[in-house]
Amino acid sequence: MERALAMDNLYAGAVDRTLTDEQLAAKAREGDAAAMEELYLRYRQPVFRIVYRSTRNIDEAEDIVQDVFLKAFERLHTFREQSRFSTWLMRIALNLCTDRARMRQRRQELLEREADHKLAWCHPDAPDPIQTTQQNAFHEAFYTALNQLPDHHRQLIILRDLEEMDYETIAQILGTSVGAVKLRVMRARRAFKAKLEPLLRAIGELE
Amino acid sequence: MKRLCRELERHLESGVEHLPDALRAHLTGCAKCQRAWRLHRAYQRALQAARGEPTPACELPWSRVQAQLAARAVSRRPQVWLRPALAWGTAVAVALAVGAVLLPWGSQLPSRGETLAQAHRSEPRVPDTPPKADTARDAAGTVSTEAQGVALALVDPRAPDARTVAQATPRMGESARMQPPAPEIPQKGAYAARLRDTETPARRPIDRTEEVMGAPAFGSASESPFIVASLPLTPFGVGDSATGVEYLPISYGSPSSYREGSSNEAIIGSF
Repeated sequence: MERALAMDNLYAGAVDRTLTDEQLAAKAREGDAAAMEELYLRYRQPVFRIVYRSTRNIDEAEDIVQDVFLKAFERLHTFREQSRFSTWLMRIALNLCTDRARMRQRRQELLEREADHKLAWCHPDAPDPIQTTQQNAFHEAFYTALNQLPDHHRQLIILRDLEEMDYETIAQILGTSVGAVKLRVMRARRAFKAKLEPLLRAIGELE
Repeated sequence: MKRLCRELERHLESGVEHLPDALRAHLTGCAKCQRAWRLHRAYQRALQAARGEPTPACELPWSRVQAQLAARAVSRRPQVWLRPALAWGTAVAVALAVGAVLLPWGSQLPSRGETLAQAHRSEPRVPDTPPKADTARDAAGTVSTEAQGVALALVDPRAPDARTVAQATPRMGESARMQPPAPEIPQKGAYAARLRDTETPARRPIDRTEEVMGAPAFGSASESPFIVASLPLTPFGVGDSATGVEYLPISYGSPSSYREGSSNEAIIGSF
C-alpha cells in the first residue's frame, strides 16, 4: 500500500545532479519523479548494454530495460542499501534477461516442434545468412557460442570478460563471494571455449 | 610434464596473459598445450572484437517508463467501490468456511433420515393391502389422526392384531386424501386409564421374536410397546420402490414414559 501511495503521489521536484545514487533512491522511494528520472538517465545505457549483449536485439533489449526500471521503482522499498544501487539494478536486469531467454527458448522449441524442425534456420541464435560475411563471421561465432551457454555461464562471461567488471562488483551483483565468482568465471570460460572452438575452426580462424 | 600442462591450463583459464618462462618452454614442446594456447588466443581476439563492437544507443524515453509506472500503480490500487465488496465477500467466505467446518459435526449425530433408513432395512415388507392396518386400527380402538397427510395410530397391545399395525401404516392413498376420515380425539382420563391397564401383570409378555421393524429392546421384558405411529414421509426416501408407497418406521416407547397431562403430540414427539 505504501508503494502504491508513493506511486500515486509522484511529484517532480528539482534534482541536484550531484546526489549519489542512494540519495536519489531515497528520494525516489518517497515518490520524487525527478529523482527517478535522474536514476533512469544515469543507468539506462549501462543496463541496455548488458541486456543487449545477452539478447542481440534492440527492441527486445529496450523492452527489458523498461521492465528493469519498472520493477526497480516499484520495489524500491526492498532496496536496503546494503549494496550499491547500480549492482542492485544489474541484478534485476540479469534476472529479467534470464527469464526472457527462457521464454524465448521455450517459444522457439514450440515453434520447431510444430514445424517439425523446419524452422531451425530462423532460430534467433543462428547467424543471419545475409549478414554473415567473412568480415563478421568471427563476431557471429562468438555470440553464437555465447548464446549456447547456460544462463549462469553467459552472465559471467558478459560481466567479467565483456563488461570487464571487477570480481567484487560481480560478487555483489550475484550475491556471492569473490572466491566463488572466480571459480565460476573459470568454469564459464572453459565451457565457452569448448563451444567456441568448433565454430572458429569452421570459419578458419583456428587451425 | 603433466603438472606443467595443468599449470598452463590454470593460467589460461584464469585469464593470465603473461606466462612464466617454465611454461613458455613447456609450450614449445607440448602439442596439447599449443592447441590450448591457440584457442586461448582466438578467444582473446574474439573478446577484443566483441568489446569493440559499438552498442546501439537505448532510445527508450523516460516518458514511456513513467507512463507505464503510473498505469501500473493505478491498476494495482483497489477501487473505492471494491472495498466494501471485498469486506462483504470476506465475511461470506468466513461464514461458509465456518459452516463447512460445523457441518460434519451435525452429520455425525444419527439423523432422522438415517434412523428411518435403518429401521426400514430391518422391517418386514408391509403388505400391499393397506386395509389391514385400518382394520387393526379399528379393532384396537386406537386414536387415529390424519391431518396434513399424517396418519397416526395408538394401538393397545392386548388387541389381537395390534402388532401388525405396529409395522407401518401405508401412505395415505389418493382416495383417502379425497375423503379424510374425521379424527377421533380421546379424552385424557380415558387414555391414561387405558395405559394403566396395559401395565397389569396379566398382560401378555413380549415375544422378542415378534418385535417388528427392528425396534430397540426395552428396559424390561414386562414393558411392551404401546405407541405406534406411522407417518407417511416422502423427504427421507424410505419407501417401497415397487409399490411407490413410502413408510415411516415405528417408534417405540414404554408406558412408564407416559405422564399425566401429556398429549398425543408429546408422545409422537418422542420419535
